[in-house]
Amino acid sequence: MVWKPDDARDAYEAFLSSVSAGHEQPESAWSLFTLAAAACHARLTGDINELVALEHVQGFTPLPHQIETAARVIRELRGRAILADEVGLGKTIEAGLVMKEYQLRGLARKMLVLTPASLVLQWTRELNEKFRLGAFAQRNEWSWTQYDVLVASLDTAKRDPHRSALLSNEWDLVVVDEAHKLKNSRTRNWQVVNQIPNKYMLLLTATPMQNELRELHTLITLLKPGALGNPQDFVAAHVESRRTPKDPVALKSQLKTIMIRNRRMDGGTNLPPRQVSVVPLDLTSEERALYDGVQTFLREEYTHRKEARVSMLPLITLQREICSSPYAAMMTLEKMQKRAKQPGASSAIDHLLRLAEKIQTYTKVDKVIHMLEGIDDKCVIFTEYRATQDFLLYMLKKNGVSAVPFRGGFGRGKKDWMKELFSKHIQVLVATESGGEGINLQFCHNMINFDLPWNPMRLEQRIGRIHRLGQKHDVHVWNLSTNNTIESHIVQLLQEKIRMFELVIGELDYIVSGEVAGTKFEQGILDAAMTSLSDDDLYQRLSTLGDSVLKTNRLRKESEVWT
Amino acid sequence: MTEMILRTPAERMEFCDSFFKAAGATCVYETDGYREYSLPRDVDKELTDRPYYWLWVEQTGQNVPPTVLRMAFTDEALTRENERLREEALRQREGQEFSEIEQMFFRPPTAELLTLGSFRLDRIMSAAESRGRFCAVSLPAGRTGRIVPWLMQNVVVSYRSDIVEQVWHSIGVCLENGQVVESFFDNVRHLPLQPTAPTDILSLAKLNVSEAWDRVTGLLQRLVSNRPDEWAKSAWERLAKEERQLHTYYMSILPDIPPEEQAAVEAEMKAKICQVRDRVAPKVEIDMKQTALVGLVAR
Repeated sequence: MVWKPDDARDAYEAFLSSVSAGHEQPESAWSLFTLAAAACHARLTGDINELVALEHVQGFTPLPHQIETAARVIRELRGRAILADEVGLGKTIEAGLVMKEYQLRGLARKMLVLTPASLVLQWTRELNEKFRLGAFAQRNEWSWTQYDVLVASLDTAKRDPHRSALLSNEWDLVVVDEAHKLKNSRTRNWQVVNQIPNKYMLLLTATPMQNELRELHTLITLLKPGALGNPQDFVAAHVESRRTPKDPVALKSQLKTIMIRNRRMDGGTNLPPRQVSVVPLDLTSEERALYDGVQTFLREEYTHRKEARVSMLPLITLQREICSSPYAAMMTLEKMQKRAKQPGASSAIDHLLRLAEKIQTYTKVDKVIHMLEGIDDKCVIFTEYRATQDFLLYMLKKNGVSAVPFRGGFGRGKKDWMKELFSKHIQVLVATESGGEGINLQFCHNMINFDLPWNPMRLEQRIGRIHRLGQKHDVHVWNLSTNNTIESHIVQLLQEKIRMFELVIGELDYIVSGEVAGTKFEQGILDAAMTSLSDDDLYQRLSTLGDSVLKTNRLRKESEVWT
Repeated sequence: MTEMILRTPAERMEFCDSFFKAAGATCVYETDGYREYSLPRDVDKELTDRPYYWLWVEQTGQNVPPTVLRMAFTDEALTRENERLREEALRQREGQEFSEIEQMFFRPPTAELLTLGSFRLDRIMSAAESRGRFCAVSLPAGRTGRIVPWLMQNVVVSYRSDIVEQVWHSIGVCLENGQVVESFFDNVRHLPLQPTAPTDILSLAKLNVSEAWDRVTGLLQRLVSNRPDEWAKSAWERLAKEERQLHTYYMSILPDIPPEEQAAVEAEMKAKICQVRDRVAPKVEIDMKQTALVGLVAR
């Protein structure tokens, strides 16, 4: 039993003698006393089965699965947990609720959120606006001691002098966002997090296991060392092969005490349906001439580079750009021309550029403008390339359609401003991939993919901008697909072979997650495109590629232990 | 006092009205769900952090106008009054010349929304708690009869491990006969008690304050030890399990660690065991929130 404050008795006696010595109490002394009792009462935390934090959130209503998760973290997992909800289900909200609850109950004062650098300000803002946690973004090495609720980037935290400043403080609650960056216990990321003195810890990741079961063990070691034995025990007890557990049921029941995973397919999140359709297009003869020209050029370059063992990256880029717009391809071609060493290549590029200049009508752009008339509502258009974005904005403006750009290079303020314009006054937002991360556009329910990323995960992230919690209408997605080009195959691959739009609801995280798998997938496509002998051959090879991805996916699905 | 309080806008507004009245602030404007209070300096200092401002004001002997708090208690009142404040500010500017810069930086005053968890309400509650910590009060003169002195203690007991549960107690001790009563505050909260000199209240006391205090702590000890203690037992079990796991884990990885790093790993284990104890070990905290001498009239 601890008595607080330890000088209460003396303080009261001092009060009595000062009153007796003529120090008057205010007239309202009794009224203040009853008010103090009321204030104290209002701050009581009450029943442990209740989330006090719910009465303190501002401007939004947490969803049932978020409340349930926060309550379980506190009641059952006792504040040490992996929150592994799928993308877009609100892990931030769940973490915020837990943080607020601990703060209100007086169980945590000093709280730290570690995130990728690009999300520091967004986290700070959300914690303050929604939960009023009084969070600060870390600025210098004194921030660690100065502020009670701090948001910092993991990359900063692991470097001195920040590292030692961080470790010299006792933290009540540590939240690590994108915790899959801690999957290897030999990295500095993992080691610094392991050394942070902490009481409660939340690890947030949509992909708790990307490649190996062992990664899961590494995360758990941060929370409860030994809960699943040491690494050897864990391997012996649970690991059949890299990705398959020996006894999924047993592992699953053990994980329940340390991890919570909500999935879209479990329902409760009630997203309106999404309708995805392909818009087939035929190139004009000028466009076709350019496309074919570029293909011939690409094939020659491909063999040449393969022999010389030079990077294929510019070729992948060019192949994708030519699918996007002639304008985007021209920029790269010009760059290649400047760098070209053999005279033959230079004149070939010259020829291509002349072909590009001949183009009078742009099929894709015309189609988009036509479609926008039909949609007659707000619409997001995604493209992979800056050049296409500029070109599209110019063409839209010329045709009297109001549009604003959105891209990664914009500062936070400009991004907010563009989003605001789009939500209030403007019909079209033309966004590039890099700009798309982390923006929420639930107020819009139409999306045109002007070109497609070669990676289903990224396509899903695009769609996730509008098809997310808070969306109240059916969502329409149109993928433009040019007939008889590699693009039509990609669309087919993404849409039919991988059947992503049925699978998406839940398992896409596993199809092509991680940088390595993504790049390999793109390389595979280029390889097929460059070396296939005919259109049929290309189709076959892409099918095989899709199959192999599916197979990995199925393996992973069998090893799914957190359903 | 068992009901949840300050959970509705009306309750919060009533609370703030009572507080500002008790603290001597004047209400300068009021509408449905909205109040403007002009603050005396001492209240102002408690509700807003700006030590340098006050240092400047006091060092230079400035005569600054009092701060006016604009508080909305509902969203509807917030929108309505912000609109009004804006219109008033624009009206005041009419007929005056402003440079482009001044135009750009023109910001009409705005109201703030007071909800549970908002900075301002939190401050007001803290101010009330500190101002209302102690008192010595009795029924006003004119009520005939003997004054019976009581010592009242309002206490928060926290049962704390990795989760916390709090219970509020109000205990009264009669200084005349030593009787100890629970839920004392509920019996006196509606009485019109007035500040009184302690000596006047204590004239018939047979126990002194310190002796009465001991009876309060005695009762609290009994209350705590009579309470079911499953929560503490399960906390001890969880603690033992986690300590065991930690120990086993580190002992099993130790052989594979190079000898020069073993000391560091052992230190890491010790630190983690301390953290677990800190988090899980059950403890009871008793916080003596408020104390009052209360003179009641014997029937």
